[in-house]
Amino acid sequence: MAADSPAWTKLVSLAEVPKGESKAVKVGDARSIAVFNVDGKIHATDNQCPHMGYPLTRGTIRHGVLTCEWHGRNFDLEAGGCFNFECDDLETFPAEVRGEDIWVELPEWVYQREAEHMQLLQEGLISEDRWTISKAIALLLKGGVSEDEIVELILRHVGRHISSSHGPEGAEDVSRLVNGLNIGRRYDTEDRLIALSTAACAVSGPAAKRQDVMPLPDPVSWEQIDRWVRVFSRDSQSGRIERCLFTARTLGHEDRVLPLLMECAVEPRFLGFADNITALVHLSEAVDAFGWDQAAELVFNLGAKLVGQGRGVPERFRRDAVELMGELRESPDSSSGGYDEDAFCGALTSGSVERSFRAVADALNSDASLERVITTLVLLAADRMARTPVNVEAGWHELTRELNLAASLRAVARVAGDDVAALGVYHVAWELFAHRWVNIPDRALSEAVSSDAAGVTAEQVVRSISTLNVHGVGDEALAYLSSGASGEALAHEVGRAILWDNTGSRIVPTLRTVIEEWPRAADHPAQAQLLVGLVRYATDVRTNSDSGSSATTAMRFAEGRTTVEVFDR
Amino acid sequence: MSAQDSFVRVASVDEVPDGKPKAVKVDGKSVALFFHEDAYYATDNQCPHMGYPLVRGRVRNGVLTCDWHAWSYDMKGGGCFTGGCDDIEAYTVEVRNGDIWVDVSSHGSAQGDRHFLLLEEGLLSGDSWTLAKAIAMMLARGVSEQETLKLLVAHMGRHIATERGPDGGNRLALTVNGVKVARRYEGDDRLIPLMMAAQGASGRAGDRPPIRPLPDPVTWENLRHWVGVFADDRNPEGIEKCLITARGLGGHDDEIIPLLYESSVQPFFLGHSDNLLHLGYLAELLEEFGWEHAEQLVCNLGAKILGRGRGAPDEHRREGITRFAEAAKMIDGLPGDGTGSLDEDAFATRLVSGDIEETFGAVTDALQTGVAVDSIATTMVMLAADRMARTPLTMSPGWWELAREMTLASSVRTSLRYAGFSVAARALYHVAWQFYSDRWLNIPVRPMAEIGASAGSSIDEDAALEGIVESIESVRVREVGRETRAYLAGGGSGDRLLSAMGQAILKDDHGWDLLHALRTVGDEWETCASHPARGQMLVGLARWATDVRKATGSDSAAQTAHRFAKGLTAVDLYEA
Repeated sequence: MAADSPAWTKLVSLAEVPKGESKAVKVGDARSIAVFNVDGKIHATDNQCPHMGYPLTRGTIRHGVLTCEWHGRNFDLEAGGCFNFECDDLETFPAEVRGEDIWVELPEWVYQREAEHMQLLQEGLISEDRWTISKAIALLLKGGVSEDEIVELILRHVGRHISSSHGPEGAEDVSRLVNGLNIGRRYDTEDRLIALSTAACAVSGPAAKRQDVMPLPDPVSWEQIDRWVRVFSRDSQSGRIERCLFTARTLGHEDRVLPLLMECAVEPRFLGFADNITALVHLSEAVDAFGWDQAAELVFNLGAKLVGQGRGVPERFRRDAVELMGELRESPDSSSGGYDEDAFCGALTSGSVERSFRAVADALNSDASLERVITTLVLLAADRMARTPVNVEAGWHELTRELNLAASLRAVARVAGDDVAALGVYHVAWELFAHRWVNIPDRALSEAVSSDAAGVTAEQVVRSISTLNVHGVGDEALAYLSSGASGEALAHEVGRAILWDNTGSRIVPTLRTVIEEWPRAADHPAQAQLLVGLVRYATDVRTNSDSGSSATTAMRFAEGRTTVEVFDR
Repeated sequence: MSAQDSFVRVASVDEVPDGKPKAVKVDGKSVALFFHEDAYYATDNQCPHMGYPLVRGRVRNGVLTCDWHAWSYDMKGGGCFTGGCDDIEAYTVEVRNGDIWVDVSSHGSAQGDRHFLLLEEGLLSGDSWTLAKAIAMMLARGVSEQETLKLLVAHMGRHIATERGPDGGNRLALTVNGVKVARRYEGDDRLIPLMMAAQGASGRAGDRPPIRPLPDPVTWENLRHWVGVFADDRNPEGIEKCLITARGLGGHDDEIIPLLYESSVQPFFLGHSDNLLHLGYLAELLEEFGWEHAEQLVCNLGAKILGRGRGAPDEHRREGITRFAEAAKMIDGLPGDGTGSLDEDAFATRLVSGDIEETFGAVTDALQTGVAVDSIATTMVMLAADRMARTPLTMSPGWWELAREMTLASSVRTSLRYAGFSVAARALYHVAWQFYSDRWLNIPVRPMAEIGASAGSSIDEDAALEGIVESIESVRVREVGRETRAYLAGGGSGDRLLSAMGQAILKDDHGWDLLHALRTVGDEWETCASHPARGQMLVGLARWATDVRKATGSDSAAQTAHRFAKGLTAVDLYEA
């Protein structure tokens, strides 16, 4: 008889569970079993509500339906089926009375719900429910499902979500996803779960069926596609671009798509639309990481929306800038002179488009490499972040855009070549011009920055961030770095603090830029400004509302610990 | 090249200079010729969007753009940049000795099953022109109606499941009744009601993972019980789970519709009679398409109907609910559906007495004396029709309410058919409640026998029919009722009149509101063939249609769609 199998356990004496009552019994370290004596029968179930972990012994039973008190989730007491969406079935156990005692069969715990939890994640992604997303990811990871599989599902969702429910602004979500995943890989356990679930939340939202985009019928050549994409980009016709891009893939030319889109995005007419450039870089990272089969819909749809977006008639300054950039790219000055970084920066922040753009042309024609010019732009932006007055409007949105845009030009050079990235430099220059209202006094970038305050630790910097010490945190970071302590270590600790705040999703792209640019700026006197700028930014925008709570609860939930810890003690 | 090739000489090169496209006829088709960037091109001349002649379009960068709505095409391959399923036919061109030769057989497959793609596009966007065009093409090409409807049903299931609440039932009503009405017509006349059906099924179709059934062991008895509990609790999720589980158990498919009906005739649903109508449409749809196509719709919409929110009842409704609950106990004691007939006049007087005790008492007494449910339903339908035929044309003649009385009374037969006597008997109280609710309508009762008893003077049927339709179209509401009565009294064919009147109604924008009643009148015209008052249905319908006529038409879209589907627009409108 099965009752002899070792899985049967004497749980509790019958006297302790009178008719109509229930009792929670702890088994082992992390398992709480609910025993019910109802309608003349003994029932045993997991005591943790599969929705949010509330103890089910406190629930109500009517018509054989067990209803949790907290959010009213309903379960079939007999077999455990849940009557609500976005919730697992409840685990139930065979129970019987032997003599004076209640015996329950508790089999070894084996993870069997991968399919259910993948579906749960999809449901959470559609309903934008942070708890469902965090819980599903925690359960999947606990069950040994690989992060890659989880990310694949998220990516599949984002393709449908963006294509059916977003315009070009969907690029912001994709940026948070790509950068969140990138940052997450640098952390473990709860930190990683927060990064992953925050990234997933950024791209959650409704998704709907749309008609397949069919390739254009033969005969069509890549040359025509190339020509038409440029024409349609000029005419703001994103739908037409999308069909061209799908056609390119059937022609076997998908690898030429992102370079082409980047070429469109750096055109002078897109001055002021520099987010396109960073977004296309994120799309190319998605392709690198997941391959075309996974990323095609997202890349073609969002890519088309980006370079096919309407731009409005440019106002006076932008019109002049567009014209000037057009002239400068047509007549490159072939004389290659020396590279004066401070003079270049001075022109960029002069408030004159003419000076700024001519300085860009000179810098591009100088003997400095494009990489070197990009480093200047990155550090100029970082330096501005390190020094912007913290007042009503510190300009964080603008300054971080300068920084992230400048850094993204390295990827543009890699994907589409130096000539395309070089045109991107004008876009950075335009952003600096457009942000001339941010009142930051000039400073020579070549002058070293340092602080001689002694004994500042990374913990102290993090404490300043979490106590919103915005006036002191920059100096502390500088003092820490000046003492020769590791910038990587500080970045890691600061990054964790960022992830645990609700503003994390917003800061993650900048965090990633700082981490990646840090080693590249190793020989530059302004290197420290990368981290100084980051900590000031993170501290100033911080809300100290916790994004970690859902992740930590999800972790405890995945280990079956919520019932016990929160309520039974 | 051999003389047997399929190339046809269409023009000399001199006739098609750069910037001057030319239209030519090849095999009765209008073909557009272009000279652009040192090459000749030939395409279909009818823009696949709305039929404008493409020779009038602009050509740039190898892209042909129609003047009208700026749809654009690759001139060489024919690909459309504007929509995924509107490629044009592009033909192979050769220049031989200064002449342009075109192979019109070279790209004949471009439009193969385009109508299915178009229908899908229209269903997703809800764009009425796209739907009209797709359905006109299907009609012109003889596509099986069943294939088309399966697409509609599948799409509607997903649309309602992800984007709609219990109001999704109104969409279902449009689709089912559009199809039913379309089946009464032939050929092109079917287009408008089918467009309505498609419109009902259209809309965004969101992502939705499948609903997993409850784990074993669950019995049908559990599920039955729980559906009732969750209907009471307003928990549509729980109901849907139970229905999906029931499907998975197997062996209970035929009990699902009756189960839904049982809940929906509960006293607490008094005043929510939409439920009964919509369940009837669900049952009809399921019968025709089977679980394979209708499962999502039945389980999801069925659950939403039963689990819908219900405001707290006011005093009158509370009283109605209590009285109905008492009467319902009596129903369970009856041996089953009776066969007796009814004293219609006494019944009608009590039904519209404005006294709920009398209203419900009329139904209770009829059932207790063994009157057949069907017979009670007939009297209710006829009473409603007579009220429509006679309601004073004031500011508020109560058209919507009267039509509801009629469609609801008619739907009792549907509930009897799909859910049996006990449900149908209860449904009668819901209809009675509608009559009670409409007590503000000032229409005196009169004996049924008096109606239509006298034969009128003989008529010229064709002329009289034309006169009635003209009265409807020119909104002569005072005359139309009298004309209709005279037509019927003079022996005019009701079937012909219903058919002609139906077309007039469908061609006006108010057709959307009248569709359901139009369907019901069609059904009841047959069912009540021997009843003296049945003519009042046509009189009532004609009066209503005339009174609310908007005189803005869905007809022009239909006409254009027909011409379009026959490839006539480019030629007809601009070339002739």
